[in-house]
Amino acid sequence: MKGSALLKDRTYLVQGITGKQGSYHTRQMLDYGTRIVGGVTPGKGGQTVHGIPVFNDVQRAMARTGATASVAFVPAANLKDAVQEGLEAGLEAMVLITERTPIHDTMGFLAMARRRGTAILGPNCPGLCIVGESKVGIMPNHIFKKGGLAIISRSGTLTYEVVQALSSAGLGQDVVLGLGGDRLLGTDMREAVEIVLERGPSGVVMIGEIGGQMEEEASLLIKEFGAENIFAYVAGVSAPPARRMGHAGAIVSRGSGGAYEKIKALEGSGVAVGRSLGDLVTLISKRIERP
Amino acid sequence: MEYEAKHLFRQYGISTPKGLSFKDMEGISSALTNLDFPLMVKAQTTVGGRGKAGGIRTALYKQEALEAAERILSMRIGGMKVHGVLLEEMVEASREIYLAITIDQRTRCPLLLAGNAGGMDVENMPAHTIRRWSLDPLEALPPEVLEQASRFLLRGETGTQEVRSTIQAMWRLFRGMDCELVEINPLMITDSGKAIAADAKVAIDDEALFRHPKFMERAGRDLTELERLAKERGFTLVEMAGDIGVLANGAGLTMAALDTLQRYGGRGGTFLDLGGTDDPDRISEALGLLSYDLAKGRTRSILVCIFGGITRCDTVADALMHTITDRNVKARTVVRLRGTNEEEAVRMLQLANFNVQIDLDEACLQAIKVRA
Repeated sequence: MKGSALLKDRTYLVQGITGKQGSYHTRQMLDYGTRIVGGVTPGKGGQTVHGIPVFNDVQRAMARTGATASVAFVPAANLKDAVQEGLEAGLEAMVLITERTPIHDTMGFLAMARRRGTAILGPNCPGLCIVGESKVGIMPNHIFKKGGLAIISRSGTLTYEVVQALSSAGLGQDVVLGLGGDRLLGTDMREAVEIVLERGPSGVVMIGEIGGQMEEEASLLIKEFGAENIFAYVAGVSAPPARRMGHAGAIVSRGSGGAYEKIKALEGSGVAVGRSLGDLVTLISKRIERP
Repeated sequence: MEYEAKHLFRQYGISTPKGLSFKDMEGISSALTNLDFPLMVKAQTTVGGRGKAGGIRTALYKQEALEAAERILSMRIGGMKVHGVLLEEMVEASREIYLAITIDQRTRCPLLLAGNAGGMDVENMPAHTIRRWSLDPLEALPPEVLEQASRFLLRGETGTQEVRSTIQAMWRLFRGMDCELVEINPLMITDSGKAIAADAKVAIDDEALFRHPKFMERAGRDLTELERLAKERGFTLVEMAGDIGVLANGAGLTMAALDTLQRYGGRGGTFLDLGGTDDPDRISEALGLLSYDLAKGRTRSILVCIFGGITRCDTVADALMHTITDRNVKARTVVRLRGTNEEEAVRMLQLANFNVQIDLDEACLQAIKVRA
């Protein structure tokens, strides 16, 4: 399956490595043990950042370092070009941290990525962590504890909250996937559930939020698989109905998208849904055995 | 708003009824000589539901049009003031249809929607009257989609060519202007086969406004004073009905804090998403906005809810100690911190007499309790 390209043990390039964010998080990723082997910033080829060589373009960086995946910290207006460049150079997986990308740009490069079979995580995501091995993106290094759980989330800080609370409770994680907060995502919740189930986790924790139908679709998959030990939290039960999207949005997603609909769909598939963050951790503690 | 959407429609080659728009009553009387009655008099708003609110009227003669316009201009619809009024010649149609292009989250592709019973509230249209086609964002509109859509909509009646070129123009507009939605409800098909958009809705992606600078200022026109102040400083701030101000980092955590307040019978009011910053000045600025709201009396307590990842907890504590010095403000502020340098931050804040918590549920209970 193409999605699992995201969890392959491999070396990474950092697109936008010379920027403030790119440089800071390259340091953090190196400290975690992630194998960052090159950076890309047009016009800055030949420099180094934390000892990592910088190249002018992805193609050259791939040829010189052998990397087949990247993590991007480029400004929103440049993300489309950066992804297109990565796809054309033949990257197998890309993790897009950049936020505030125009939705038409995302729609375009995701379609290109599907044609080429490249796995994308994000945009507007905190990245991923294979606990104890490799962290790609901006999640804080110290929150993880090695274990068997898989965490899938649409929110950054909520992921950190949950992961830290689980770690403190002695419930370790195998993988943490931050899917991103945008409406269009390279890897959605349903696909992420498929990816992590392949690894045989002790449990799967989904952190969702209002809007769209990702949680509903993921729950259909879970029902089909009959998977056990699936937990969820959905943020936004107190949110007022969205005043933004017009009628067409309502037809596309008739009768779904609200937090209650999502919770209902998840519980209908046998998922244990925590009504608060504390509640979620308690539920998991009761069902998952500590090593 | 409709008149702006129709301006875009005409630029992209979609016909609209002959009409004129006004911000106030000035000039309406003399302009009426250029329009043929009967007229539609329509409120221009950024929110939906104007028809049910009485924001759309018909006028058979001049005095009626002036009265309707005056009445509409003084209305508030959906809590927002009416921005203007559009006077349009009424179109005689033999058929009304529905057309929209939007973005489908599941397929991550554009979606064309066509309904052969236009004019009514879309949510009430029976499912069998609507058809949909997923479109490839990298390709031109396939001829077979145009063929199928026009056949479904018109069943061989006149107007096929006009409907096709309308869909093509919508597609060009959708792509050219970074639209999340282009909608015509209804598209009027006249006896002679002309297609005229009686209503128009265009939603441009906020994140793409840098490519369309002319539309930049329109994005902020329904903001309150506080929301505008926050936007100028680059913060996401939303005013809700409750009385507990919330400062959190990240949309998910902000929502979780609001949810937890509600769970214990509190109601989140103004909330501000700090985003991922580690700059103490930014945190002070954000706190300043919420204290300002507290001073005005709308907010009665403040909940600060931070997970310290990139934003270190001690940085937040430092900013809090420097910004919130007033004893009354401090008494109504509850701080909840987790993450990087949490112990250090808690110690600093306790020494400075802040109400500081680790547990989110407890922090929410406290924020409800300390309301003045």
